[in-house]
Amino acid sequence: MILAAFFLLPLATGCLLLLWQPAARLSRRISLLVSGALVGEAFRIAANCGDGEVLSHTFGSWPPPFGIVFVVDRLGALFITLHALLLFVTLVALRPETHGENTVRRAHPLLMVATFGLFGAFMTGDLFNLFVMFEVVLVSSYLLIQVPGTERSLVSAMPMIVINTSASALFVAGLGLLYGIGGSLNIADLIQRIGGTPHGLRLAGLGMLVAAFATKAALVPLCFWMPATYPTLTAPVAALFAGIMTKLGVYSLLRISPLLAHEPVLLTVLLWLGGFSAILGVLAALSQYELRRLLSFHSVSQVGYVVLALGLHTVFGIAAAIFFALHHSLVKSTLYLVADELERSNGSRDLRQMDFRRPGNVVLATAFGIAAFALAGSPPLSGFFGKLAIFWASFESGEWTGLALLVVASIFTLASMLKIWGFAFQRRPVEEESVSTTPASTFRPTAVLMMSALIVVFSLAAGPIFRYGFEAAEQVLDVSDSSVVLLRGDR
Amino acid sequence: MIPVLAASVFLLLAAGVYLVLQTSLLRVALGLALVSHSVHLILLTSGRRGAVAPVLLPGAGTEGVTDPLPQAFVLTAIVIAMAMTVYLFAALAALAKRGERMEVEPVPDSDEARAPETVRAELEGKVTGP
Repeated sequence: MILAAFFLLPLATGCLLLLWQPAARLSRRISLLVSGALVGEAFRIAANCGDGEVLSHTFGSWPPPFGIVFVVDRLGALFITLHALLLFVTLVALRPETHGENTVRRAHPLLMVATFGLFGAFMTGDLFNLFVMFEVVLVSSYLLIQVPGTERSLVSAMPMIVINTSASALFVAGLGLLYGIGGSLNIADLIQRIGGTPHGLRLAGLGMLVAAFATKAALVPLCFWMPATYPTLTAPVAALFAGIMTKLGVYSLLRISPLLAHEPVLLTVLLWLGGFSAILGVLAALSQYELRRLLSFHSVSQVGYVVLALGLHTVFGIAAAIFFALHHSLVKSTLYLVADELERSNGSRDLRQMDFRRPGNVVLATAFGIAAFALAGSPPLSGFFGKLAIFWASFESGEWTGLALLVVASIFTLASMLKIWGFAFQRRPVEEESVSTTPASTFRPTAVLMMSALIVVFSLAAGPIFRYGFEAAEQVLDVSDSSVVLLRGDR
Repeated sequence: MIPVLAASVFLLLAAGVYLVLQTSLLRVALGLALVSHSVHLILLTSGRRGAVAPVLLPGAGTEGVTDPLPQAFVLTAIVIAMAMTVYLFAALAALAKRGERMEVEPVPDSDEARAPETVRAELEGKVTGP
C-alpha cells in the first residue's frame, strides 16, 4: 500500500499545482517538501531492498500475472533513489529569481507528473505499463520543452517529437508480437514462457523493443533528437533530463536482458551500438561550441559505455553497466548545472563568448573540475571505478574491439572536458576587449555544490554501491522459478 | 481475418511512412497518427488467433473466444496516440501563430542569428511566450 502512495504522491502534487496555480515561491516550497519526502522514502525502499526483499503491490488484489503488479527490487530501488535525488537538486536550482517566475510555475507541475511516470516505469512489473509510463514521461517532457516559450524551443522540439513518437510505435508493435507468441506481458511471466516460442516472431518483437529503447537511450544512429532539444530546455530541467531520460532507456534494456538472452544476435547488436556510440558521440561532442550541445553529444558517448557493458550479458558486465549509469547521471547533471550558471552569467550559450572573470567562477571551476575528472575517470573519483569495471568486464568476455573503442573514447572525453575548461575558465590573451562586460545575473551555487558533494560521497561509497549493483544484476539475470515468483508479487 | 488485418496494417503503415517523409509538418503529424493506428492493429491481431466469437458467454466455453486483454491494451494506446496528435497540432498552431512556416527545417545549432538581449532574456526566463 505504501508503495502505491509513494508513486501516486508526485501525481497528486502535480495535479494540485496545475489546478491551483500558486505563486512561484509557494509552488517551490510545496515541490521541495514533496521531493524531500520522496528522497527519504526512496532511501528507505533502497535499504529494504538491500537484503534481497522484493516489495510489491497488486492493484485491486488481482493475482499476478492477471492483474497489474508493481514491484521494486534492487535495480528499481537504485534508479528510484537516483531520480528522487536528481529531482530534489533540480528543484533547488530552479529559482524564481534566476529562471523567472513563469518558468518556475509552469515547470513544477510538469516535473511532478514526469516523476510519477519515471517512478511508475521503474516499478512496473509488466511491459505494457512500461509503455504507458514511457508515454507519461514523454508527454510531460514534450510540454517541458515548451516552457521557455521561444521560437527556437518550438522548432527544436520537432525532431524529438517525431523520433520519439515513431519509437513508441515500434514499442507497441513489439509488444503486440511478444503478446501474440508469449500470451503475457508480465516480464517475469514472459521470461518463463518465451523459451519455446517461434524464433522469427521473437526476434522481430524483441528487436523492435531494443530499437525503441535504444532511441530513448540515445544510441548513435538514433540519438539526434537529444542534442537538438537539450540546449533550449530550461537549464535545471535539462540537468534532470540529462541525468535520467537516457537512463530510462538503459533501465528498460536491463529489465528485458533475460529475454534478450534468447536472441544472442540482439546482444551483439547492442555491443556494436554501444561501442560506436562511445566513439562517435565523443567525436561529435569535440566539434561543438554550444556548451549544452557539447554535453548532450557527450551523453551519447557515455551511454554507449553502459550499453556495451550490458551487451556483454555477464553478471559482472551488467553490474558495471548499473554502476556506470548511476555515476554518469550524477556527473552529467552536475555539468549541466555548471553550464546553467555559466550561461546565465555570460548571457550566452556559446563557449566562445564566455568570460573567465565572472564572480563566483572559482566555486564553479572547482565543481566543474570534480565533475570533469570524475567523467574522465581519474582515480579517486567514481568514473575510475566505473570504467575499470567496464574494461574488466569486456576483458573477461574477450571483447577486445569494444575495449579498444572505449579506451580511445576515454582519451577524447578528457580532451572535450579540456575544451570546456579552456574556453570557460582559462585566461585568454587575445580578444580581452571583445568580451561583453554586462553585469552578471544572480549567482546561486547551492545546487552545484550539492551535486559536487553527491559525487564525492558516491566515489567514497563506490565499494558498497558496486556490491549493491552486483546483487541487483544477479537478481535481474536470475530466471529460476523462485525469483520469478518474487517478481510476480505472490510471495 | 488475420490476412485482412495484415493488409490493413500494411496499407496504414505505408501511407503513414509516406506522409512522415514529406516536408510539410502537417502531413508529418497526420502520418504519425496513421503509423500509430497501424501498430494498434498489430496489437489487436495478437489476441485474435483463430478467434470467431467476440465475448466469453457463461456456459458457452472458451472455444474460439477472442482474448480481451489486447483490446484493453489497444484502447489505452489509442487514447495515448490521440494525446500525441493533439499535442503536435497545438505545436503547429503555435508555429503558425508566430508566422513561421509549417515546414521541416534544419534545427538551429547556435544563437548566432539572434540578438544577444533575446538570448539573455531567454536564459533568465524573462520571455513571455505561449
